[in-house]
Amino acid sequence: MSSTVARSLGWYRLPIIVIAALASLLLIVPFLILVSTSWTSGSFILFPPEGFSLKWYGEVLSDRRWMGSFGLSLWTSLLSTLIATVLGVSGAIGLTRVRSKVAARWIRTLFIVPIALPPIAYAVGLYGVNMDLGFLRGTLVTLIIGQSLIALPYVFVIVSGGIARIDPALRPAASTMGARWPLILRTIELPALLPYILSGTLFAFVVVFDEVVLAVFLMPPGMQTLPLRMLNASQEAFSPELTSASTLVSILAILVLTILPISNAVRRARQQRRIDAGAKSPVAAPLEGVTE
Amino acid sequence: MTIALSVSDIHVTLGHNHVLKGVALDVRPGEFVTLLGASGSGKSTLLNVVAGLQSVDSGHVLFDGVNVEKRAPQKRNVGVVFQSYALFPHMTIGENVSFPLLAARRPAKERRAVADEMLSLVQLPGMADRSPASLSGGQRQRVALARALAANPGILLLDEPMAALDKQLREQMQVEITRIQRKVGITTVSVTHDQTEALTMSDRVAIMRDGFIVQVDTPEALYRRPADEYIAGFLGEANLLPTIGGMILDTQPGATGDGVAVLRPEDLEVVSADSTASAWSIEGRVRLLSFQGSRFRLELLTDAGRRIVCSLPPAADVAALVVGSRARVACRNPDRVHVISTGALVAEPVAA
Repeated sequence: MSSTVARSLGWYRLPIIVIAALASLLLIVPFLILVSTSWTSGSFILFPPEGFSLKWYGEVLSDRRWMGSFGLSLWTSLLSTLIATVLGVSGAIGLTRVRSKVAARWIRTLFIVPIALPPIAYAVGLYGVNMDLGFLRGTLVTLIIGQSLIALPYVFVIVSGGIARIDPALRPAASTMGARWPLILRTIELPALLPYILSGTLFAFVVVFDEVVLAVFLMPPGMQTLPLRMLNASQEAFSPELTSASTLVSILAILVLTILPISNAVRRARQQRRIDAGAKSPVAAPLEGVTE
Repeated sequence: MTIALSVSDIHVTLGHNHVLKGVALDVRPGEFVTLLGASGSGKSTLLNVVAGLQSVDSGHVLFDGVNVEKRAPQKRNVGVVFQSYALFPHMTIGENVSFPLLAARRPAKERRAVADEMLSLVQLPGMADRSPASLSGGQRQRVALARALAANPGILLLDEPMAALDKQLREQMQVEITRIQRKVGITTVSVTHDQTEALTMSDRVAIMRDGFIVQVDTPEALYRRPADEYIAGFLGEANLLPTIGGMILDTQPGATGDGVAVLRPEDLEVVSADSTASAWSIEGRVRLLSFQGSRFRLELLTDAGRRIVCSLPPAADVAALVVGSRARVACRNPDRVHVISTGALVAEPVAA
C-alpha cells in the first residue's frame, strides 16, 4: 500500500521527505548530544565532551543511591503497570457488555480522561489523601494508585482498538457451543487480544517509569524514584552522572519497546509455519501502536 | 438427535423498532426450512431468537414441545453457522471444530477424534492442524459447518451462509450443505435474501416481510400459488394481471377487479390473434424480442400500458413477432394460472 501512495505522490514526495528528515533530526539530535555529554572524562556537562570515558557510567552503576532509586522505580512501575493492565483490560472487555450506547460512550470517556488531566491534579489530590489518612504516610500506596491511574488509559485504548478489530460474532458463536463466560474469556477473548494487551502493557510501563510529577508529591521522605533523583540531580550539581543515568534509562526504554516488534515477528513466524503451502490469505493483523 | 421446532406469536422490539410482530413457524424433525426476505424483514432476528442470542418480548419457542425461550444459548444444544463464520483465529481448525466438546469438558482424545470425523464429513480431512487464516472462503464455511455439527446439536441454524462466497462457489456450497444436512438428518433453519438459494436448498420456504411470516410452503407451491402480489414478484418473474369473474381484463392501472392472475413467463405461448377461446389470454404490441440461448424472451405492451413478459421455447416460430406488430399470448393450461383474490393483497401473518 505504502508504495502505491509513494507513487501517486510523485515529485511531491520530495518536500515530504525533507520535512520528515528535519523532524527526525529534531527528535534525535538532542538525544545524541545528551548521550555524548555522558562520555566526557571531565566533571561537567559540556558539549562537545572533553575526551572519552565511561567513568560516569561506572559512577552511576556503582552508586547505591542511584541503583536503589532504579530498583524502587522498577518495582513500583511494574506493580502499577500490572494494576493498570488488569483494570484496563477488564474495562475494555467489560465495555463490550454494556448494552446502552450512551452509557458506553460515557464509560469510554471516563477511562480515557486521565490522559487529558494534568498529572499534577492527581498528585495534589492524592497528596491530600496521604495527609488525611495517617496510616498511608510513609508508604508508597498513593504513588502506586496514581501511577496506575495514569497508565490505565494507555492499556484501555490499545485493547479497545484490538477489540474493534476482532469479529464480534466470536462470543455469541462460543456461547451457542455451550461455553460460559469464564471459558470464553480464557480461551477466546484473552488469547485473541493478547498482542494488544502486551503492547498496552509495555506502553503503560514506559509511561509510568518516566513519571516524575506524582513522585515529587507522593514519595515518602528519604525515598526517590529514578526520575525524581534525576530531577533533583539536575537542580543540584550539573554532573555528567545525570546524563549517564538518563542514557541508561533511554537504553532500557528502547530495549523494552523492541520486545514488541520482536515478539510480534516471532508470533507471525509461528503462525506462518502453521500455514501450509496452499495458503491464500494474508496472516492476522499486525500489532497496534508502537510497531507501526 | 434431531428435534422439532415450533415458534409461536413471537414479538421482539429492538429499541423503537418492532422487529418481529407475532411470528409463528413449525419445523418438522429433519426438515430444511429457509427464512427468505429482504433486509430488515426480521429473518435474522428470528434465527437469533431460536439460537437464544435474542430475548423475546413475548411468545414461545419450543424444542420437541419443551419451552426454551428462557433458556440461555449454552443450554439449547443448537449449532449455528454465522455469516462471518466466526472461526476462532488463534486456534487451529481442529481446535475450532472440537470447541463445543471442550465447552462440554470432554477429554482431549475424544475431541481430537470428533474433529477428525467432522472434518472428513465436510470433506476437509487432515486439515486439523492448519490455521483458519490459511483457508479459502469455501473451506472456512465447511469448517464452520463442521464445528456447528460437532456436538451433535438438535437443530442447525445457518445465518446467510453463502453471503461471503462468490457466485460460483455459492452454487457448489448449496449442494454441499444440502448433502451434509440430508446425511446428518438434522432439522435446519437457514436465513437468506437469495431466492435461488432458498428454492434450491429448502424443503419449505418461509417468506418474511416487515416482521411477519407471510407464507410458508414448498418452493414449488410458493412459485405456483403465491399468497400475494409481493411474493409473486419476489420469487421469479411474474405477470400480474387483474381479473374479473375468471377473465383477464386489461383495465387501466388503478382500477381493480376481483382478483389478480399470476402468469409465469414460461407458461405463456403465442396464439393466433383471433383466438379468444382461452380465458387466460391477452393481446399487446411487441416491444422486444431477444434470443437468450435456451429461450426467447418476448415483451408485449398491452393497450392499457401493462408489460407482459413471455419466455418462449427455442423451437417457437418467432418470424411474425416483429417489434410493433400485435400479438396475443395465452396460458393454455388453466392449472398453471393462479388467481390471488383481491382480499389477500394485504400482508397478514399466517400460521405455518
